[in-house]
Amino acid sequence: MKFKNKEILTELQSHIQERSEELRFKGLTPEKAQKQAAQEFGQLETVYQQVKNIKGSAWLPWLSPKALLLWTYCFLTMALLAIYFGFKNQVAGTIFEPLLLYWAGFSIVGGTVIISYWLIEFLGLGKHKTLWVTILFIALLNLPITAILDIDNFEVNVHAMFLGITLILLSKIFWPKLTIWWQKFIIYGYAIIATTSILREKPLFNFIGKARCLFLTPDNVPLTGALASCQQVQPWSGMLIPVYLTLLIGVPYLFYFLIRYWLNKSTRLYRKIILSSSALGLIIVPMVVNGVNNYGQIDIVPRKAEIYQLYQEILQRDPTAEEIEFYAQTRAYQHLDRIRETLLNSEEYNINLDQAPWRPTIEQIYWDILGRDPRTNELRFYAVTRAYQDMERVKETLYQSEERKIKINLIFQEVLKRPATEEELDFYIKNKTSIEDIYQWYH
Amino acid sequence: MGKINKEVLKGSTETLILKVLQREPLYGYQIAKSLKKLSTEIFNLGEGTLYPLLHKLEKQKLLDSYWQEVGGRKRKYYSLTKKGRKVLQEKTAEWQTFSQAVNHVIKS
Repeated sequence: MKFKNKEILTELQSHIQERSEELRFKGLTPEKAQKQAAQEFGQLETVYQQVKNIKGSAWLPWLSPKALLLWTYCFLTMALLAIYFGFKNQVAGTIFEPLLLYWAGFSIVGGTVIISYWLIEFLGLGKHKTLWVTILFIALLNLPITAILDIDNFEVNVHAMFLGITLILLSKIFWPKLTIWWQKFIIYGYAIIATTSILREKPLFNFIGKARCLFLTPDNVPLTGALASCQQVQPWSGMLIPVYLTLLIGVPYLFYFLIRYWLNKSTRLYRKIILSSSALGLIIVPMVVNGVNNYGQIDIVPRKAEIYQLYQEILQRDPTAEEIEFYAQTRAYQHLDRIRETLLNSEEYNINLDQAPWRPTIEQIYWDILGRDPRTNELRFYAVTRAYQDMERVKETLYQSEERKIKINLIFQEVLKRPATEEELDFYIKNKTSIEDIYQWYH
Repeated sequence: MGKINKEVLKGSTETLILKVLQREPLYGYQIAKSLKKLSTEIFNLGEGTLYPLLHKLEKQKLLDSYWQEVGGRKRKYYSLTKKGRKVLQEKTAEWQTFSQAVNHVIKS
């Protein structure tokens, strides 16, 4: 008989092993003990089937709820990554950028929950040790996350550690009295809350009194701009004691724990590999990759779509990469009303296009090549970029434009009832014939 | 099974398991051993009864469970839920009423 539900099988086999061990302790040889234990148990298949009937119909392993969840997660991740990296320019300023960011955040938080689940399975519930070991792990995991994002800002970690210590102390007395549900709730709850606060850079106890951000600068560089409200701390500051304590206690314990974990025969290999890799990653990755959000490049992502919208509304164009970088570095994305004000007061927006001496020339070029007046945003573009200084280049750009090809095709459709061929389009582009002349010729 | 008729035991097995789990979480083999010891070897619950019952109680949300790796082996521990404690209380009160009534009749 094929035992599809591995959980039920493991439980029943464990019973037989326990009995076999007891018999060996009483003096039987391992073979006799195993045989007697199996005989006493009775028909394994029958008991398995009875339990399976109560649990409900078994899923095919690759269609179990856990497997389906995993498939869905992998599929969505691949889809988001493909959209982002395949269409990087097109998705800039759209909903996909923050979506990918939130998905990455969700994955990190989910990862800490899964690690907590593995730790619970290894250490067991009911013991207070499981709580503080898990909290220690989460605190250790969150330190490199902070270093990778913003290498200097550890105030959020300090708050999360404070929450962890509070939980450990408060629950010391009543932990064994809690039901399993509540024990799991506290452990997973801490993993989710602590990690989310780190990723969002929101100190947990800000509701008591707004925390000043700690800025770790060994070289005592004065803080200006967006960092002016931060409190400068040196590496030996008392405020960093929770961080140092976590590292001092946590890192040696982590290595001791990993050795025990590897030596445990019943722990699956993939868990050993993932937990060990994460632990090594704790130490190595921040040395190589750190401060990726030091200039707000990640923080600005959720607000990018709004900035793009403002630019389109006011200047009829997208912001440039330099402009986005500027808003990120100065944290100006936090004040969209000020960006709006700045754009409305900008030279680009207020330029007096009616008085521009180059305007008639540009208008003539547009009529010749595209058969229409230039739009206001196009005139603004020439004004701000000073492109009107190179009229030949303006002409060349318009001759090569898609709009010109469409206009030529429209003429052909109207007069000749067919689209222009590639050769005909090439001919008119190369010969720089005006739209009016093309129309007159065929009409 | 000991000297007790199976039919008499039938209705009480659930209560016995809930009672055994009242103090601390235990795994299947421990539950069977505890029950045997506490009943001075009267109740010797077979695996064919024990495990289906444990899963039934878990499905009814009277028990919660978690896996733990111990000495190279995985064990599934069961523990009473809040609902399980309430049901145990009710069934214990029910049993006491029943047993008192039976005693009165037998002694009369």
